[in-house]
Order: sequence, then C-alpha cells, then structure tokens
Amino acid sequence: MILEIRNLAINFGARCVVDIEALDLRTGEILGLAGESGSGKTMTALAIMGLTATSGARISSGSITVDDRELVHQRDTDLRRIRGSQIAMIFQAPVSSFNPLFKVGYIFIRSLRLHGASRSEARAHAREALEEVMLPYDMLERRPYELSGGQAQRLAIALAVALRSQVLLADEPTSALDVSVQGEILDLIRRLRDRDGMAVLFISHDLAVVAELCDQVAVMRAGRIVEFGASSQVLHSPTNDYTRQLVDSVPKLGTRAG
Amino acid sequence: MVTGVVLLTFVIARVVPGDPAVAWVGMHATPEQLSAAQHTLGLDRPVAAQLLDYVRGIATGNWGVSIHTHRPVLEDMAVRAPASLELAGAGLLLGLGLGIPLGLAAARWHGQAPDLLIRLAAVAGVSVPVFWLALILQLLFFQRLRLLPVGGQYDNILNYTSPLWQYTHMTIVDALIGGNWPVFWSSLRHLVLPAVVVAAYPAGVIARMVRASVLDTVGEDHILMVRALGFSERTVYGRFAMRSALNPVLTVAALVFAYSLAGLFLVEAIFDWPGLGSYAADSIASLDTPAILGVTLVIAIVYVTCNLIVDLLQAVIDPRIRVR
Amino acid sequence: MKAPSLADTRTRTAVIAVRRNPLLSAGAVIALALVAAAVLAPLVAPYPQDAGTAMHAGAILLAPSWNHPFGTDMFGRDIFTRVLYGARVSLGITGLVLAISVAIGVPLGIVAGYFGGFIDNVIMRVTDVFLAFPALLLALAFATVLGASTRNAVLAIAIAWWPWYARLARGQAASVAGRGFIEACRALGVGRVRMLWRHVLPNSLTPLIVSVSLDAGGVILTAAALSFLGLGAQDPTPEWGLMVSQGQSFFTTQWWLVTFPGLAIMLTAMAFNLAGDGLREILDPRRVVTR
Repeated sequence: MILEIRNLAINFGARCVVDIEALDLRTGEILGLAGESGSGKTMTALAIMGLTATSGARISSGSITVDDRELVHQRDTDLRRIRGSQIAMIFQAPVSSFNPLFKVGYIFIRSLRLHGASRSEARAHAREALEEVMLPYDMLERRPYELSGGQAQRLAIALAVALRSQVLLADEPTSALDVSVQGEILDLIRRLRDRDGMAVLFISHDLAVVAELCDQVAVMRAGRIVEFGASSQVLHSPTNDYTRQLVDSVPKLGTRAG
Repeated sequence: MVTGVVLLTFVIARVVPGDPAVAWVGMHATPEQLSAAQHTLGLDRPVAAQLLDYVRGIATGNWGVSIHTHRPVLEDMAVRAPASLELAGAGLLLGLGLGIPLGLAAARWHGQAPDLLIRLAAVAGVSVPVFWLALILQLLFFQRLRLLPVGGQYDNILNYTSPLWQYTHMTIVDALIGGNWPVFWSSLRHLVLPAVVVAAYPAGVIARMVRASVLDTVGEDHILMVRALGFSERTVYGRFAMRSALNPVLTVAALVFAYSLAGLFLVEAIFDWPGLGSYAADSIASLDTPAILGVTLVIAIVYVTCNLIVDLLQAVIDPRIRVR
Repeated sequence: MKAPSLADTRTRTAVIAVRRNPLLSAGAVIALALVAAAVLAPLVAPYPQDAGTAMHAGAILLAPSWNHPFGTDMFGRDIFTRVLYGARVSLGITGLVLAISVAIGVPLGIVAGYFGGFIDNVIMRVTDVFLAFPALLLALAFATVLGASTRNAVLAIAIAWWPWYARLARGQAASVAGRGFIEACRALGVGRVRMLWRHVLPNSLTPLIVSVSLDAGGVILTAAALSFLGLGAQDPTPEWGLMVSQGQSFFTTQWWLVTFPGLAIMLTAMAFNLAGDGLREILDPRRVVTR
C-alpha cells in the first residue's frame, strides 16, 4: 500500500467539498477516480500534493500517507521535497502546463536538479526517460506551443519517470486529446505500471477510458465515494443508482470537458 | 507623421505671441537693427518660404540659431542632452528597480498588509505632483537635514580640484569611467533627489502593472505544474511568474518613461539641472522660437523612438510574437 | 425564477468589490469628500472672503494655528479657505476638460472607427501627431499661445487630451463595427446616424468610462503644473498649483505655503485614481465575481 487516505475532509470556505472515509492505492495498481466535474476528484489530487491552497481550499481534517509518511499539515519545505520526486502530477491540458516562455528542457532539467541530480545526472535521466516514452531527446529544445497535445503529455509523463516518482496522479490526462492519441497515452501508463511498478491514480469523467485502463474504480459524487470495486464489476453491475446513471450515459457521442 | 509633427511645431512657434526679432536684438534696438534682425532670422520672407527653409534646414542639420544663446540650436541641444539623458536614465533605472520588486512582493503577499501598503505607495507615486515632490524633498533633505545638495549637477569647485575627463559627457558615467571619485560622489549626491522625483511616477505605474500581471499569471496551468514539481514559492514567483509578467511591464515602462519626460522639464528647472529641460524653460521664457522648435522636435523623436523600442522588446521577450 | 439582470449583477459586483478592496473604498470616500468640499466651500470655509482678492497686512505669513489651520499666505489670506475653494476650481477645470475632450474626441473616434478607410486615415494621422508629444508639453504650448488664464488653461489641456479619447473610441468602434449584430442592423436598413448613436456608441462606452475616471487624476496634475508655471489660473483664483508656485519663494521658512496645496493636489489625484481603479473592476465584464 503506497497511498492511504483516511477521513479526508476538504473545505472551501464553509462548504465541504471532499469527504472521503477511505481510499487506498497499491504499488503497481491503477486506481480510477471517476465522477462528474465538480465531484471533488481534482481537489483530492491537489490535497495529496498539498496544493489545495492554490484553489482556495483547505484540508480541515484527515490523514494522507504516502509510503507510511503523513502528508497533511506538513511544512511546505518538507512537502516540496516530495512533490515531483515521490508523487508526480500530470494535467488535462498538457501544452499549457508548460511555461510558454521557456524551452521544455529548461523545466525538465531544472526539476531534476531541484531534486538533487547533478547536471550530467539530470541529462542522463532525461535521456532515459524520453527513450521510455519514445520521444527524441532534442524535443527538449522545443517550446511548448511547438508540441502536439500527445507529445506534451508524453513529455509530462517522462518527467515523472525521470524523477523516479512512485505515485502518478493523472488528472484527466487524455480528455483533451484525440482518441487515437488517447490510446497511446493509456498504453504508456500501462507500461509504466508494468515496468516500474508505478502506482497511478487515474482521474477521469470518462467511464469508458476508466473501464479500459483501471484495475479498481472509485466513483465520486459531491465529494464522497459512492461506489468502489474492481472496474469490471463496478461498470457492469453497479450497486449504486448514481453509478448506474453514469454508466448508462457512456455510449453518448462527444464527451463534456472534464 | 513626422511631417505632421514638424508642421505642428512650426505653427505653434509662429503663433506664440511676441516678436523673436525683438528678443534677438533687445528692447532698445533701433528700427534698422530690428529689420536687420528680421532679415537674419528670415522673418521678412513669406510664411511658406520660411516653412520650406525650416524643413530643408532640419534635414541638413541646420536647426536654426538660438535667439537667447546666439548659438546653433543643434549644438546647444547636443551640449545639454547628456545631462538630461543622465537624469532620465537614472530615473528610469530607479523606477524599474523599485517598481518591479515591489510589484512582485505585492503579488506574492496579495491581500495582506505588504500588498495594501505597496499599492497605496504606488498610487501615491502616480498621483504626486512632480513639482511639489521636488520642492518637498529639497526642503527635507537640504534645508532640514542638510544631507543632500539643493541643485546643480555637481560641486563646481571640483572643476578645479579634480577636473573631469569627458567621454560620454554624462558626469556620473564619466566620473566612473575615469575613476574620478570626488566628482563621482558629488554627482551621485546631486543626482539622488532629482532622480527620485523623476522615478516616482514610473515606479508607481510599474509596480501596479507587475502586480496585476503576476497575479494574472499565477492562476495559469503552467504555474500549477511547477508548483507540483516542488519548486519553492520564491522560485515560482521570481522566475516563472515574472517572465510572463515582464512583457506587459516593458511595454508600459517605455511609455511611462516617455510620459515622465514632461516631468523632466519641471524637475530640471527646480533642481537647476543643466539639461534640455532647463534649456527649454529658458527658451520659452525668452520666446526663443528656433530653440523651442528644436526641443519640441527632439521630444517627438524620443517619443516615437520609445514606441519603436517597445515593439522590439516585446518580440524579444515573448518569442510567440516573433512566430506571429 | 427570473435570471438576474445585468444591472443586478453589476450592483452585486460593485458591493463585493467595495467590501473586498479597502483602498477603493478609501478612494471613493475621499473623492466624495472632495466633491462635498467643493460644493460646500462657501459654507464651511472660515474666511470666505480670502478666496479672492483680500489683504490682511497684519496677518501675513502666519504659521498654522487654531485660527488658521493651514497658515496664511503672503497677503494674509487663510490658506485653509483657499484650499477648500481650490477644490471647486480644480474639480471644475477637470470636469470641463474631460467634457470637452470627450465631446470632441469620441465622436471623431467613433466615426473614424466605424467608417474606416480614408476618414479613418485622416483622423488617425491627426491624432498621431498630437499623441507624439507628452500631454503636458502640448498643453503648455497651447497655453502659451492662448495666453494665461483659467479658461485658456481648460482649452489648452482639452486640446491636448482629446486625441487620446479619439484613439480609444476608434478602437472600440472598429471592433464593434465588425460584430455580427451590426451587420444584421445594416441588413435591416438601419440608417447610419442612428446606427452610430444607438448601436455603436453604447457598446464602446465601458473602456471610455474607465479611461475618463482614470484620467481625472492626470488632468488635475496637468492643470496644477500649468498654473505652477504661470500659464494657467492667475491670482486671485485659489488654484492649488498656483498657490504652490506663489509659495515657492517663501518656501524655506514658511513651509506651509507649499505643503498644503500640494498635498491637496496629491490627495485629489489619488482619490480619482483609486476610484477609477475600482470603477474598472466593477465595469470590466470579464471580472464579474462569483465568490
């Protein structure tokens, strides 16, 4: 068990936006976190990173442990060491996730050096990681707006690989990509799980994708987990009404933005 | 557009009340001297011809002869320009040096005490009347505290004790290059107050601009990503947010600099700074048409140049503009 | 349930903005106080007769005291009174300048932006020439030409200022002209003048209003500078810039002559700047606040 969440409550002002009793993630497991927009999925991921403040929310109680280490209410200096290196996060809009005024490689190498690599080590790790995601090394010389969505997302994943992250939080990573590219990214995530034992929290509103990729699924609604289980079971024989509604809406053409 | 500017300045100069010929020869001139002066100044020729002469003169570098100094206008201005450049440059540097860090700090601690204080100071800087600030500072630092000198560029005694070798004709720069420390310190002390007055407006505008720009940037995806990678808030603001914020800042900076040129005129007069501003003041006082025209043209040129520089800088900082 | 109208949303945004933003509230309060001072000056000022020509030989250059909170000037006139009356002068000048500049600049700009082509070119050329100079210098030039007086100062500054509004209005009109509903109106046969008045103008207004409120501070500073240089208001008009200039020769020993009028200029400009900022926050449709 690499990630454990217990009794997590996140508040936005006076409003409770997340209320999770328990959620576990194992090494080498892909856990899907499904639900509509506004259900609290992204907030949960931000809480794991300790970044709820960027959305104006606070963790009011609960515990999040990664590798048996408590994360809630830790000092920012300690949390910063974990961000990126132990837990990595990738986002929905990969191209705009990179600062447009810098070359992509700048952020790549700087992040590696931030977490302790020397310049040559950083370059070596970067090279390996890019190979793994099947991108040429000179892609680092490009600027984000020169990349396609798929390339940028692979780059973001490569960064997680280079940093040797144990946990990957993927917040709607394929929602903004073409269907054909989606498949490549999903393959990549599976490969990471198989080869490196990476634990993945896959957040998505798209149940079809979740069904295809994830071992287990947690369905969220209004901040709570309303259903949990193996993905085939949850999706084919959901016990909860809400889940059933979601499942029924899957064959609809054209998904909403997450 | 340049023709328009020239035309406008010419028209204004012509319409200014007072007879330049009288100013040239003085009040007690005889009628013959007066008409001789009119002839010298070309005032007896038809207006259209005068305009043509003037335009031709400008193109060839003959900007007329100043009535109150009796020297070619271009030469007068060339002599006094470096001093103005020195002051304006110092003001701009100070404005940037104060405005950018303060704006960044206000953004970082947004909503809290530092932010409110900085914003208040910025608004004050933008609203303070230049001539008043100059007088108040003079009162405080010269009169009451005896810390800084009241005017001039440097202590003139130093002309004898440590004569200055002139390279750029900007006193402080020359002193630095030549290692002439007495003059350097003296000119620094003389530069401080006028530079602060000139910098007040730009610093205020730049601080507000930086704050707004950084706050806008900080909500964007790429900032969340670098935070998620473990960078410290200091780096997030200082390196990543700043870059995005810089482009609009530079645009504003150049324009604001141009605006503060108007203030330069007042500041030079009050601090007795031997630059173009005080030259302009003298010219206006003595109805020195060619000189006024000359200064006006220079100002217009500087303004236009500033705008061009802004366009260039934008392309450098934000490569996306180059792509377009 | 009825959807909230734009006015409702704007009011709500305004209230939120005011509550969230102490500086804005301060600015608005000061601005109101100024207007009040200007209007009530004759009632509130301790020595109303000092606002004009007056001479109290026995009370020359007195330091601030209970009788004369801001001291007296070289003619023995109470400075506090003159500062209060000065609010009328300054606000009057500012109002007139802005009104005239807008009245000249906006129509020209809208016409230029809407019709484009040759008219646009000509008008823009003219504004370019004017905008090639800092406003103060232009105003100086015109004031010199027109002669020094309050009325001429107003004209001079207005002449220097209108190109800015013309530019702004043109930009707005040009972007509005390209919008769908304008084409629709044209297709329906709406006449040109009506088009400009009822469709193009209202949609171009917001940035104009913001600009005007922000400019008020600049106009006050320019007017004060002109008077300081002797090209604006003349004695006995209690204009703040003029008072500073008059006090200059006594400045080293009688500091109050310069300090208080100048402070008044600064506070007024600050108030307008802050209020203008707040107005921008409220009116800018992108910033409708939900939290």
